[in-house]
Amino acid sequence: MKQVIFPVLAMLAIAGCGNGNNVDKSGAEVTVANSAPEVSFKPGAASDHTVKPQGPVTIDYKIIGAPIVGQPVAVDLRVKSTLGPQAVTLSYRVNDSTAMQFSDAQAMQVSIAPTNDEDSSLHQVRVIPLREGRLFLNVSATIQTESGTMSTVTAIPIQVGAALREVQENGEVLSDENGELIRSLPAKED
Amino acid sequence: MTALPRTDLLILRYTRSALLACLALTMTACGGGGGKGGGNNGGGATSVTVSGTVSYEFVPPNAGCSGLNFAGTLTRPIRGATVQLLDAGSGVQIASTVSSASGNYSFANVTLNTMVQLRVRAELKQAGTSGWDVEVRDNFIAGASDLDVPAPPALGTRALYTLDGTNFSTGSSNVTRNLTATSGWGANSYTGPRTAAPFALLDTFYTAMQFIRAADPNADFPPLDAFWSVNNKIAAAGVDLTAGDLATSSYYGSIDSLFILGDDTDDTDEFDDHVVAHEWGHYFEDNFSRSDSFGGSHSLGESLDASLSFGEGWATALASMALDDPIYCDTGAPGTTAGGGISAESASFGVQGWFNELSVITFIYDLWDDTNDGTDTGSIGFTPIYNVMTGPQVFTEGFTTLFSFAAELRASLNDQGKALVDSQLDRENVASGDTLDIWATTETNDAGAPPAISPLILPLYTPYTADGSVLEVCVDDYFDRISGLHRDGNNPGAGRYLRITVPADDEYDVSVVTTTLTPPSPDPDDRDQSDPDIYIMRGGVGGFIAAGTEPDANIEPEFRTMMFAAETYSAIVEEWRFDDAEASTSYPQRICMNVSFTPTP
Repeated sequence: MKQVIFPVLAMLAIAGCGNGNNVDKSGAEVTVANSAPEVSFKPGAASDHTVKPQGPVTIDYKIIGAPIVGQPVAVDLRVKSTLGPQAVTLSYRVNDSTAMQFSDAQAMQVSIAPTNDEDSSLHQVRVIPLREGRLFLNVSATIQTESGTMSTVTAIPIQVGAALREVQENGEVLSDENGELIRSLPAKED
Repeated sequence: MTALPRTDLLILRYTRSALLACLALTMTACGGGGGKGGGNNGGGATSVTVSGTVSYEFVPPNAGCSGLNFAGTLTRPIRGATVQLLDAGSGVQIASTVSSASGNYSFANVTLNTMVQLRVRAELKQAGTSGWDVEVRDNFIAGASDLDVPAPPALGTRALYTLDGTNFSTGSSNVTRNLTATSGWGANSYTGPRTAAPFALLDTFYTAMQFIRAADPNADFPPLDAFWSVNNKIAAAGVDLTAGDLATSSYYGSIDSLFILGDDTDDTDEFDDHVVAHEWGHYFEDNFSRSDSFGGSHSLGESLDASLSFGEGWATALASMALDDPIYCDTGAPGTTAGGGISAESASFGVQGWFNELSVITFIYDLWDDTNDGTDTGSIGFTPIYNVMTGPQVFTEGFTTLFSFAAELRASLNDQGKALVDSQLDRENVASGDTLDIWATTETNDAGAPPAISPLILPLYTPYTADGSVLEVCVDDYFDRISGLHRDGNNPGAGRYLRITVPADDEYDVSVVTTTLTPPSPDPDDRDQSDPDIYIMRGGVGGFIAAGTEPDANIEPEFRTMMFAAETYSAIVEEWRFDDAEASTSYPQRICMNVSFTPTP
């Protein structure tokens, strides 16, 4: 048996790593696709495409309804674990309490046992946005293993108000003296 | 002549040398590069030196890998990058150099009073037989898609990132100009150009290459393109590189390219140097070694196919070794505390063994590191690991697994090294000792499979003689089902490895027929029929040499191989529906097939 010297820090973040792809539809239920994109391929072509690891606990989410300032919004969380039905403790936090707060009755910590049964691994959390913009609900998942405590934090984006993702510009596309396209980024100089 | 700032006009008016410089500038602009006539900076100086440092801001993770720590931003040198001195008016290169390991650059003999601009290209170039060629480009094109007709511009022609200074006059004395690529972070969010990101990627590649160079000074790195964009995001709907839709940060072997996440509303990886180095580790394995991994999504602690667990574990271990830091961090959206990490020194969860990438990570890392952490007290250094990865692992007759790596590594070491390897294999609950072989012949760890599943996990290889006999092979996606039915087909038992003895030089007719009934589902859109496939590999030539991958239901149409030599081959037989995200949800967990290799008349 492996002797653990370091406490295991955590599992990998799935946080914002695609544990939900929020598609906003005004006035309609926001649907969320599976976080981990399904990449299917075969050997040969398969070895062609390797991806970064995911943590052993993943949290898929679904935002119920269109978030509105001052109105509670429910977020369904579904916990999946590759470590079996071992209990996972979820705890909730918001980075900016002026941007979002929890409903009064909201338990700040809950323990659930992930299963492949979708209903039993489902949990709902309710938050109240206090301003428009892209706000984040941080969900910490902690699990005990034989080698210690592991935890990871998933940041669930909650878009309040209009404008989801916009194409961003970073620098300026130019052609250099050889006609090669460059994306010119400004330096800080001294 | 290009309009000059007021101060430069004054200089032109009052100095004779400046007039000469002006003429020189004109010639330079037409001639396009090269050094200038030497001068001195005494009373009759005819040239100056432009020098300085180039650097970038690196944002480390918070403790526990919980988000990025912008308050702790570090300034690091941009190493090994191309630095250009450009004529400010025409953009023509006057001279170029490569930044030093400290980020220093210097251009001597630059014409006086010339309007110039400094540019740092996000590239590492070293010509020669043991060189490198790395570029960081922007894959994203607004409004475009991989599926566009006509096709979007080739990836290799997409915009290369550059760090550009403002125009300045070289004046009449030596000039120091320091350029820094900043993160762009404001108080709570990105508020300026994210200039540091491509250079952070570049520096991770530089570090990784230096690490390899320490073991092999003649290592020759094939060209690598890395693509990053502020619009690169995880897209559940499918990969579209041009649109910035990624599965996640990933490596594509067929084009030797990395794609790294950059959308700050989702997940960014440019400062997650272990993630970047992990993907670079795949590039290394693909180009310097061999990988038979199927790829696909994988979770830490999950029981995986042997080739996948090795490839992923290798990549993370290499990242930790190259960065000399065992803590692998993957942070989430900037400004949040999202993230997590593991220690390559000690991470352990899930069932330990050859199928767990964490076991592979800690096995390799602890062979290398010389920290006496109580679990390993020795180190074999990186050179033996490198030698096996670039030697026997390339030509192993079996698949590239922990067994092929460990067996060959062990065989290359002295008794002390063998003992260390054995102790670490024991620690990971993997077969060890003199009987360890590439075929996992003595392995008994079945990943904790139930008795009904265990025979489909071990032995790892099913022996078969290519004499026309029919071999029944069964595959089972039990491990995928208990981990959430991801349909990646990359768990133990989802495919079956064959160790094939070819008795005589010949061409062979290969047949795979599903024998398990797969009842139609009520939903006509369901993929409810079996799709058996087979991939054949010849170790001596380092990879797959034949495959049957037709989509026919319940059969892989018979095909004839090329001439096979009388030696050992390997193959994997799989059920494609286990990979198929659109397979019927009622599709059987276990599928059996009849496989035969028949000599041709």
